[in-house]
Amino acid sequence: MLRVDLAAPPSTPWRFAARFELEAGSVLALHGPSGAGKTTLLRAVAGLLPADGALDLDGADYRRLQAWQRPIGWVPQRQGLIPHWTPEQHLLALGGGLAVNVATALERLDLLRLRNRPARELSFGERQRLALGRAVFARRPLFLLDEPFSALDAAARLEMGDLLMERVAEEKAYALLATHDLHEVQRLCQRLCLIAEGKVVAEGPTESLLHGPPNARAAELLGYHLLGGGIAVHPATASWQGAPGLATVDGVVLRALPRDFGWRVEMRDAAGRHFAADLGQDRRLPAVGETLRVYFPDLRLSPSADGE
Amino acid sequence: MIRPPLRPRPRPVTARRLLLWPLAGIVTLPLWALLLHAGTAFVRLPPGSAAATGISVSSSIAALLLTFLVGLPLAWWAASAGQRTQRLLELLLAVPLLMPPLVLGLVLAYVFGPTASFGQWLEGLGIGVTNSFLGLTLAGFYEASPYFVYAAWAAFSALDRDVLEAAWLAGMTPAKAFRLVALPLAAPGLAVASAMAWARTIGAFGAPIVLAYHPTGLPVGIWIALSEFGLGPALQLALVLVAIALPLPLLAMGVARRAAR
Repeated sequence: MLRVDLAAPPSTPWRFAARFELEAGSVLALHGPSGAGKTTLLRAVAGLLPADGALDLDGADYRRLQAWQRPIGWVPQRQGLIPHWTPEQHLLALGGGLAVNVATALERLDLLRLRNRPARELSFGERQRLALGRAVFARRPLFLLDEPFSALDAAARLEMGDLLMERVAEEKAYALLATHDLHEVQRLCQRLCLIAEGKVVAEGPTESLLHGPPNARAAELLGYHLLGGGIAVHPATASWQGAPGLATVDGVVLRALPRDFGWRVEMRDAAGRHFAADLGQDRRLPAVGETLRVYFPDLRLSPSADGE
Repeated sequence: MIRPPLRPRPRPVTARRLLLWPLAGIVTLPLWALLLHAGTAFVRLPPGSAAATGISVSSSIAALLLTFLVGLPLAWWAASAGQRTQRLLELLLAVPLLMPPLVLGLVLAYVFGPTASFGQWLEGLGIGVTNSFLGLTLAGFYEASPYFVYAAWAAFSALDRDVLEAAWLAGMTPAKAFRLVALPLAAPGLAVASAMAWARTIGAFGAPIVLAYHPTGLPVGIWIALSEFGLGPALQLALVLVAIALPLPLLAMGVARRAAR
């Protein structure tokens, strides 16, 4: 079990406070807008920033260890590779050794043909794959990954995501993944922690949090729009067709943008609140200024559960 | 239609093209004057030149090593210190940096001289500083070290912090990360810092003339040659000084240029 209960010491310029637990062999997503404190929290867990509180992994108190003594697989946002070292040198220099032989690791990272090329001569995507490989092929119980897939194309994202899941399962490791991408969260992470202004807004199993945010701030962070009566609507759950259990929402069309073989229609309800609906192309798109009726799952947030 | 063959267009005469070399000539006047002198004068070095050269080279190497020993860790720690500490250090280092070398020599004589209690205590231990090789080395060290620390500090500050932190978290101790990561990455800046320190220490005159007139190194030797034999022999000796001072800065420029590629 990984127990994180960390807060920035009052005398320091950083602001973060987070408390959560994670089972072995699972990935927790840290999701929030830019500047929310995801990187700061990861750095505190890594021991690169001072932090008060407790950090406990399988009974070992990590707070007693300096950063270089913590057995952590680390991917910083800007990769942190040594420019004059080759991919092979990066993997061979890992303290504690590699989980597989170096050729296998490089092949899995699609870097075998570049094994002797200095990191400074690799493309951004190649460097990102190497940084991920350096973290996950280490025999470490904890992986801290800060936007590790941001420079990868769709195919490489899937491939490297699979690699992460495999290695977490093999090592029965714990992984904290800071990401902006909710698709990545859904695919890779069993738990989700929503962060804003350095604080945890909500934390729980990914699917239940995605489909039922416990408070308005969490809903906003997940891309929901808040309408009157505490109704939260997510563009991705919109439908042209009404059905039992769906809430009916009327809105004036402001504009429509092409999106995933359909449309994202931005609208305004009678009270002037903006919301959006992702709709298929199976019906005529209404003109700007027309009123459109769309249906959403009836998700009502309790006014008392505001996450503050 | 047959077109006439293309000819390169003549480059326009601009102020930059016209003035570049004359301006460079003004700044590098000492070099041309020395070369002109070497070309016209009969090269006969004044007596004691070989000994002065040996003393200058050996005391400068000793001063440079001392500068590395003290300056390298100081610059490294300064680069990772808090803002308040950095401001204070900047201020403290600016004083010896801005101090005229002659004044620096007076201050060193005040601390290490035979009338100072610290100097007397050292003499009691058999370590005489004034008019000794140690004094010459210390004078060179104090003239050079602030320049070295500033330049090395800038080189370490420019390092990508992410790279160092990732090296620690890949299992390297801070000492190993310093040796394998920080030093090679900062090498171009450190080479420039070393070249500056070398140039300062080998040409040190103000502090040595007060603290260690003997054993006579090249700068003081040039002064003696000027006062005893005139301008010609003094310039001969100056050529020797330039010749032995130049290789290290040239090497540093090469290292920095290679690293930039």
